[in-house]
Amino acid sequence: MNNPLGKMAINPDVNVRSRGVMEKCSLCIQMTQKVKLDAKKEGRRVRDGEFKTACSESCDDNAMVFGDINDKESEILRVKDGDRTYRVLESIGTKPNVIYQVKIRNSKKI
Amino acid sequence: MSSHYEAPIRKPLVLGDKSYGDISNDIARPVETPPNIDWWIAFSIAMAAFLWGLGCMAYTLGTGIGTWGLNKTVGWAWDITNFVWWVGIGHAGTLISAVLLLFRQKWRMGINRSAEAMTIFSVIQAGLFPIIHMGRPWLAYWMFPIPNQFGSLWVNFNSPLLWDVFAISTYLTVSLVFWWTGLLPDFAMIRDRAVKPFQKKIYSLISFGWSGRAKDWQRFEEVSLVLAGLATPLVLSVHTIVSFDFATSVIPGWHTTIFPPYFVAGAIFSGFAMVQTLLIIMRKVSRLESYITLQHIEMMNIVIMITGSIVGCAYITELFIAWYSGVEYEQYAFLNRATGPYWWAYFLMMSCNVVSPQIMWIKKIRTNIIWSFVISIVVNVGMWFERFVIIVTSLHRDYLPSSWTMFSPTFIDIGIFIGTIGFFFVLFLLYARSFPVVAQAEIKTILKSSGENYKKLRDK
Amino acid sequence: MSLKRLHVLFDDDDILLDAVKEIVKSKIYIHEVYTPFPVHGLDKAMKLKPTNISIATFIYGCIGFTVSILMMNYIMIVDWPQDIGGKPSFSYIENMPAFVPIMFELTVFFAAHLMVITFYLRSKLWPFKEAENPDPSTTDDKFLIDMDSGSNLSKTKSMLKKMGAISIKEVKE
Repeated sequence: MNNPLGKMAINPDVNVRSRGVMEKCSLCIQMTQKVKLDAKKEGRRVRDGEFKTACSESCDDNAMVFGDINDKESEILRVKDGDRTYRVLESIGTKPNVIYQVKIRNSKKI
Repeated sequence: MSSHYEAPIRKPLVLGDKSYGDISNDIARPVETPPNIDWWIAFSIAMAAFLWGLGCMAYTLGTGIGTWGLNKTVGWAWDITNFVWWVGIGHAGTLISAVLLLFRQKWRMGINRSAEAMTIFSVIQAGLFPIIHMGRPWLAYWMFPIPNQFGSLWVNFNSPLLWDVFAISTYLTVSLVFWWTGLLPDFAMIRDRAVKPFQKKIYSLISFGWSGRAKDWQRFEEVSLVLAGLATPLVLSVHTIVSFDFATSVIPGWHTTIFPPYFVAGAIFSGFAMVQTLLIIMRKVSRLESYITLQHIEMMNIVIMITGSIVGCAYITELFIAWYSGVEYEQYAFLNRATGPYWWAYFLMMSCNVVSPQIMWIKKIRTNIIWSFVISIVVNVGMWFERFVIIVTSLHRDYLPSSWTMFSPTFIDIGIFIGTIGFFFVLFLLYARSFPVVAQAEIKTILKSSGENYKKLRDK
Repeated sequence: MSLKRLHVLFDDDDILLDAVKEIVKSKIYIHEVYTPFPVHGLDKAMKLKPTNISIATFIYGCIGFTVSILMMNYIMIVDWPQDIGGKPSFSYIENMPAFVPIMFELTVFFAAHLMVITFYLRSKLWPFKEAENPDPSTTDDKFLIDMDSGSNLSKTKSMLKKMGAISIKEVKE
């Protein structure tokens, strides 16, 4: 894994954990931190579209959007408050940070 | 004379024609005489089970939680079932020592020492599970709020799992000091009559030099009362906090406000059943029938009957509310429990916990030693299945059918559980032959009021 | 007649209590009474001061309560507040319901353990401490009064015998 190809496969900035450690998608927190740090160093606010995750960056069709929902002008906020939005088990009220959009079907049938 | 009066209607709590010296002799006898073959057989079986369990725990430690039957959907099964089962059992000892002291129930004196011992030993078993179910148990100290080099990465005080850490630690240590403080005068009794030098040295050490001065007794009584006052809310709060492990989640069948009182009642229920199991055997083997009388057995059966009824009520409430709420997830959770793939566990739970204690309404049954013993075992089996049903049936089929799966234990799961039972009995058997198993100093205080010979003289 | 030290044995708690009352009435000093179990009313008869240990325990409980609040406030609100399930992480009061179980447990923990330690220290109880009861049967079924003889030794002795003492021993100081 310690070659250019292997390094692409593993999570940047994070070492491989030993046995017994549970891990789940951290929404690329390291990339988020780096964006914030870069913006701080340059003395500016984070621009919309700067926050990325590995999956949102690599998706060709822009199927995944990642961003700061506190930013009033961000694309993610538009998506979150849009008509197509739903969350898994929404009625429980846990408001997960992963939201889905209803598939657009090109037909009058439901 | 000072008032040793007790109404004639009360049955004697110390049978036979005992004097203070007789009490000392009777309680010291199991300590001063070597155990018989029955003890050795029981000890060997318990030790074998313990060693097997130890091996299973070592294998888990070395290889990982994958050796258990857990999977992504059912993340908790035997580990947490066993944890709650053992913690619940422990609560009876504290109730007998603390709550019955506050209610001035003299009948607690024959049984409180052994009940508290049971509490300590069962909470030890319970405490094993949070540690061995971690992926990296050698990092268990990370559960405590200790300043560190990770930016001082702290624990999460919002989490019921952490509340558990504090609650169980407090419960174990406070029960331990309550038990040990009460033991000091009794160890002193054994120390002062010990002839063998090794015995004398050991009991001198563990009696902390107790001399029975009037001022010490004055403090002793006050400390016992205050500890009882502190331990009583512990009985209620600790199992409430354990129930929060489930109640604070969002899973159907778990997220319900009835859990705290339901769990506490269930804990007392199973705890008293375990005390019965232990004492019915011990009173015979150690010849303590004069101190642990049929009256004591009956009173404990009545508590079992009452708490069993509360548990039964809770079951019915859950079912009713599931229907009445109209929440289809909740309704399915209970339908699945009764008719799904684990219906047999649910059936066992219902019959052992709801049906069996109800037969204690019949006086002939609740004053019968054999029936008491049988029901005590049945109740403990039922209560294990109750925790299993709550945990596994709610987890294996919750909101998303795509995640539904089955759980089955591996031989490691089973081995560890059997190991804790073995460990528990090893501890209790050792205790029964080296500790004064009845609070003899306390019994002496009620000899004149509740001793059979004294009552006979008074009630002539 | 010079003051002697007596060790007087009894075998009944009621008789002991009456004897103690009589001795106190005669203004003879009782050094200590050793009993195998707590005798109700004995401390009052000996005019022992009531114990303040429960007041100390209350204070210890308050200490535990304070420690828990300071600890959790520092850890969860001041040092590293986090958004955990949306819980209010910038105000202790708003997040307090989550902190109550631990506030309660630490209160009980501190109260109970500090009280027991205080008891052990005050009554001089610890491992390797030698027992001080003069007669080993005082943990079995006998009661012992360690007292001065008063100015008239024989009068004291006869009073004690009349009250039911089973043995009177003169001991060196």
